[in-house]
Amino acid sequence: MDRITIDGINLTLANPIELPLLWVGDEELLRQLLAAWMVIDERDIPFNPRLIGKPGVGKTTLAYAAAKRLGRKVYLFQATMDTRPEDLIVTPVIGPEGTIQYAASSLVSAMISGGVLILDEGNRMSEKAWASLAPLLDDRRYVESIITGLRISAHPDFRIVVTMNEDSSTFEVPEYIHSRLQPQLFIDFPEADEELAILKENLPFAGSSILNYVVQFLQRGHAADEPYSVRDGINIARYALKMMAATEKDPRELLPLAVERILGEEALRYLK
Amino acid sequence: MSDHLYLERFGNVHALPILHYRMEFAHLVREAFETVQPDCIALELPQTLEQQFLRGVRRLPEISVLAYHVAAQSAFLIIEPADPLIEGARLALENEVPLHLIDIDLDSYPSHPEQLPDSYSVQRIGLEPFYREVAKLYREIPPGEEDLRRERGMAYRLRQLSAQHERVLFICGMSHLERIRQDFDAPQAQPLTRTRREGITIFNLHPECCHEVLAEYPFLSALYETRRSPLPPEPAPGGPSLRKSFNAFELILGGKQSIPEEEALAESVQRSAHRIGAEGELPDRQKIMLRLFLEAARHYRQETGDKVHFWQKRAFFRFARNYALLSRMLLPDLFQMLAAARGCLDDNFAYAFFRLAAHYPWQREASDLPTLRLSAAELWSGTKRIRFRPREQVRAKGLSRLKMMNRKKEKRPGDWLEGFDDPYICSFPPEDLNIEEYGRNLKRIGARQLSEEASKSEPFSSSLLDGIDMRETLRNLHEGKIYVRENKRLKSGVGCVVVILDEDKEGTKFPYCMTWLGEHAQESDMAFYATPPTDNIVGPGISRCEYGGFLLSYPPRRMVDVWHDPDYRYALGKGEHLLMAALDYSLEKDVVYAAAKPPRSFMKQHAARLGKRIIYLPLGSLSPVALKKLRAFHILYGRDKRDIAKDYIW
Repeated sequence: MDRITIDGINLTLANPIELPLLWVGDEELLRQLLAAWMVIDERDIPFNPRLIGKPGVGKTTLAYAAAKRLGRKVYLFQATMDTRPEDLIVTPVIGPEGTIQYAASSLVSAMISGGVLILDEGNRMSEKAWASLAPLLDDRRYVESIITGLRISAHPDFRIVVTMNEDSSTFEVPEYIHSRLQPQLFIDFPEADEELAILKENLPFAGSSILNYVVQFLQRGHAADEPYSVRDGINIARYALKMMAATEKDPRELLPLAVERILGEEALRYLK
Repeated sequence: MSDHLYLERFGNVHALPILHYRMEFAHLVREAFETVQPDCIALELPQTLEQQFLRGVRRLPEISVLAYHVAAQSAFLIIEPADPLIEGARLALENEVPLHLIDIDLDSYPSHPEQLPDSYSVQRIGLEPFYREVAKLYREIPPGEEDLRRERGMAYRLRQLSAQHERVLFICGMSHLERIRQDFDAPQAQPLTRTRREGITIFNLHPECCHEVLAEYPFLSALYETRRSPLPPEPAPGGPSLRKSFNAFELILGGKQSIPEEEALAESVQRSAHRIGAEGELPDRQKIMLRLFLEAARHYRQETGDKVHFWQKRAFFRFARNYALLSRMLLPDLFQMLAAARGCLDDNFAYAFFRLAAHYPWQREASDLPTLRLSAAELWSGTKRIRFRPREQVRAKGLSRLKMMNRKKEKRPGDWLEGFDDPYICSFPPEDLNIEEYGRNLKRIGARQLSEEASKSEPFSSSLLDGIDMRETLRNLHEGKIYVRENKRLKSGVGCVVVILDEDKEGTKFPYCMTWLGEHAQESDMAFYATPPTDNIVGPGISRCEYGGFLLSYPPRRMVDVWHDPDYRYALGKGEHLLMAALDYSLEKDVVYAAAKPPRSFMKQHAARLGKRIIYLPLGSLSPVALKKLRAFHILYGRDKRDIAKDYIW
């Protein structure tokens, strides 16, 4: 773990993450996210975009892929309803000799090292937590740690993206935060050919007939406005393939079972 | 000669290097025509198409499509106003100057994957430096055999024309001009080429396809077309609105008055044509984009009642700029602008933006020619090849994935008014559920706020209470004490909820005051003030209203008409009126009051006299997205409208 001293206070920095995620969806969305982060002059500041979409459409994957495209370190912060302002910035921890030490959150680590922060499920955080990020998200680009009394400025290369589910807000995102999280990029369910490409990327060992079958199932679900995502499709195909290995049955025979186990009985009506 | 224009001259040929399908070059053709005063115009188009092509040009400003088959594929040429070759032909016809199409007809035209600079830079730096750079780029790309044949053929024809005429204006793509100039000086043999082509058909383009297949989006083409002739007078402000408003009498009669949607859009085109530069000047594409945004913002406000904030406008232009720069262009195309409109504002704004951008006032479905529907996918997919002239690949993008574009429109003016014959009015159930859920949410927020206000930290003595307060402990570390926190739970519940979205101080914006009783045990009684239902018709028998403010009171079936209750005559404004009613009807001690401004101290005293308490929630602390969803509601004339309402409500 790296350490840094700011105004005489030692901070332990979080480590960036490496994930095996690859974006195989709409290239235009990736370009939109990169456009939001782009600056054309040192006086220009980047946007703080938010990615909005149903669970499983690939919001985090898109954010990770865009960050990797920039060649920056990636940090991930999973927001919950219990996230407090100090969790987002600096938390005190007890050191080996019983002394208080300060740990920088992944947000602050990304700010200091000029990395990219993916703030996942941002709409689950309370207004109090959001309020601590308000100066970071406008022209000021700093956060204040109440616990240490530090003001930490963001590196010019620091970028942030917030992912949000469309319908599962625990708290309201207040107006002053809403205007700071712009633009909003909407990720919809992919078209059939994109969906097939995503399944192939995730399940390279699966036969194309089973993948096509799963894609057809998902597309029927999307048309009926069901919340079945590619992630569900991957799980269904993976489950059927595993069962096939165990029982030596044809995977298409096992698909209804996989669909029922993963999405429930009501999803069976979308199987042909 | 203007600062922008540049002409290559060889012999008595004045050649204008152009990029196909770009408005700036169409304008430069007009400037070139005025400067050269030619007695002959030559175009880079094959002579075999001439007859049908000229028919299409004469139809302008109506847009036509030339189609013919090449082997198993279809080739299309779209005859649209903001194209330099079409402009050249049009000027020749209007001024009775001889026109010659001098290209040779081939079955295949090589397309090069080069990225050309944005034509907008001509506006800023002029054509000469622009052409020098593009010519340099083309020198590095080896020409195909077909290119060389065409260029030799055109040079041969040009020599013939230059012998017959005094001043030849030649309009030609930048990729060919340098080699044609060289070929012109060398003796050329007459090229062997096809002299006739059968099966060329000319169609009228369906107006709904314009936004997808025109090279310049319809609004820009319409501005160009409007500025070709002397500008019509600028429309006075306060003209026709996109909001379909009627008085109650018209609704009952089934409506005789037509709805001027087309007029409102055409007025925006006319107004914008005045504001993008002086008459006769090269229209500034950046100003066109700004006008499109401002006019769309006006329509958006008319339709939804929402205002475009300054920060949204700034975000739109910054994001659109970045998006274009990433595609190596200076200004965004229509798809990028729509993506920015949706991302920086919302779907409704993007729809208003799209509707205006796709408006081309002269195009009609009914025509003297058969009407053809054509999509971007057909033009650019592998199975059918578009056009016989290369176009920048980057601009080939369909917009069909933006689902908001499928909104229903009136089939004919007055169509929607016929649904208003049912005297029974009802609400749209999903909106009722939404507002109930939101009311419960506000009660939770109110209760949490009170609980947090009541929480306190104190030094640890005998009980840990609700846990260690780490922040307070660290803050007072010098004391050496541990602080613990006690979260107090609010004992009383929240009764009524009042949300004031707009105080309506003038008293004119939201004149429709109603008290509604809950239809069933799960629904609250409601009092509200809103815009009148006759003000915004959005479907057959479907009116859209906007709340100025509302009061929710549970349990239902207890509320009498609050708006005529003399007890509330001391209220200053409708917001206070609702708050007084809420204090009256609340069975619990607390009443949530969400508004932009806190209630007067008089109201707090009044509440205290009734043994009640007002929990004030600033409107800004609530989600603007949730409030926006809530603010508009619909009144349906007849229960049968509940089945179709979802197709018209957005």
